[in-house]
Amino acid sequence: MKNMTYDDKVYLLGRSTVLLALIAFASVPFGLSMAFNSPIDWPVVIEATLPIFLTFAISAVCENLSYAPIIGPGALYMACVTGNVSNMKIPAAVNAMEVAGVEPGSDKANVISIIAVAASTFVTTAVLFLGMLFLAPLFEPVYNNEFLRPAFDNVVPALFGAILFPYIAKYPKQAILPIVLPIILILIVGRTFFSTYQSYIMMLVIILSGVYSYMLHKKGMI
Amino acid sequence: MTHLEIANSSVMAMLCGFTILVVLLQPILFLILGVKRGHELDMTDAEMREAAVSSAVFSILPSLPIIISYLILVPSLGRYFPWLRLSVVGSASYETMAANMAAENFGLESITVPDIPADIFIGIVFVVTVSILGGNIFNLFFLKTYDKKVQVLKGKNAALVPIITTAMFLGLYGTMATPYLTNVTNVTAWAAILGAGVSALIIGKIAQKVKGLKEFSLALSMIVGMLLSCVVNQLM
Repeated sequence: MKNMTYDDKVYLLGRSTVLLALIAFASVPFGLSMAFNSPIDWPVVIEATLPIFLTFAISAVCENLSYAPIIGPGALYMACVTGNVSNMKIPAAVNAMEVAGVEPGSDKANVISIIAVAASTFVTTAVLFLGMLFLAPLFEPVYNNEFLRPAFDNVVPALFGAILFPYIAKYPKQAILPIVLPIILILIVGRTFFSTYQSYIMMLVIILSGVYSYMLHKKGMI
Repeated sequence: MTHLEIANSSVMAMLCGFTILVVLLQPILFLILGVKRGHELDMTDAEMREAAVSSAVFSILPSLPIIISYLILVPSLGRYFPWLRLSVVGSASYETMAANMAAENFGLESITVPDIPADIFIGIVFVVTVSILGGNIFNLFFLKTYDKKVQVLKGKNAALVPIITTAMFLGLYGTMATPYLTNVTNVTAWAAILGAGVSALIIGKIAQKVKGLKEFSLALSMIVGMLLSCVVNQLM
């Protein structure tokens, strides 16, 4: 352990904790099956699992390939176990990089991402624990309040605005293609197609955005 | 024994609680490793604390709708399983969809029918748990190899790393924001985007002078955007 590089420690810790989490997840159905003496009907279960698994796995892989260079492997191992990656973990990480003033993609940025994603995980887990204990029914009238309702329906658009505007203002030339291209795409392919294949479209836009910024840099425009 | 008796049993509570505790080990261990690495890179405790506080405060906002998703899932899946599911990988829409598809596969009309037999309910728990694990299985086996390739590329083009990372980030959120940006009928979402975006710019400017504000800039901007969508909704 002592002679391992930091990166190797991240991989080792990431892989072992992910494995542990997967075992813990599986313990729920298996534990129930044993406790209630009710065997699992494998053919039916596998038949039900496979199509859903494949649908989600393919887009999850595309997403992880896109996220890894942005937040680094340590933060990604964690983000994927607790979920809410694009609407909470990545914005938390990128915002923290901004707050700490570190260069995106650097070693320091990876450390900040790890801290941000860990903090974010603690908060969601705590909020949900309180939700289960007593908070959920108390919060319900606030959520369903006629005036406030749009606020909770629009957390995600508000997040996109708060994250994107400063970036567009800071990197106006780099922002043109990644903002305009998906808008053109959705107008061509339609909303349903766009949302069904969003993970793939996202990967394409990310690659093209990278190439575009590379060319801007090469031409000395940024 | 009905499925809700299983779902609300102490066995279920223990299994779900145990799983969440195991899952929480990961951020604790990573936090220790990250802070240690931060010190090696000459980062101060204050810098790292700011990052943690900012992320924690921000995360409260997207967590609130999840509490409501919890309430929606409880009638069909009991108290504890939705707690676990929403604390770990997945989302309210995924859980509902997977549970319904599984229920249909087992010959039920949907997950909302009363008195699901025990074996079928446990089967549904299995399907919902396992079907979302593709991303994690990828990480377990392939993230190391992929990240090493990324590192080699980064090493060769060190000057380009911040530029390309920014470009990737813009591509990511440009794509995700597009369905909202192009939906002209959803005026409240537009109000939220504009309100949050403009206030992020303003708060960003003020934060250059006011110490400590930067940490809360994201959360504050989002609250302004969310409130603006309420006001616009009233005016319509």
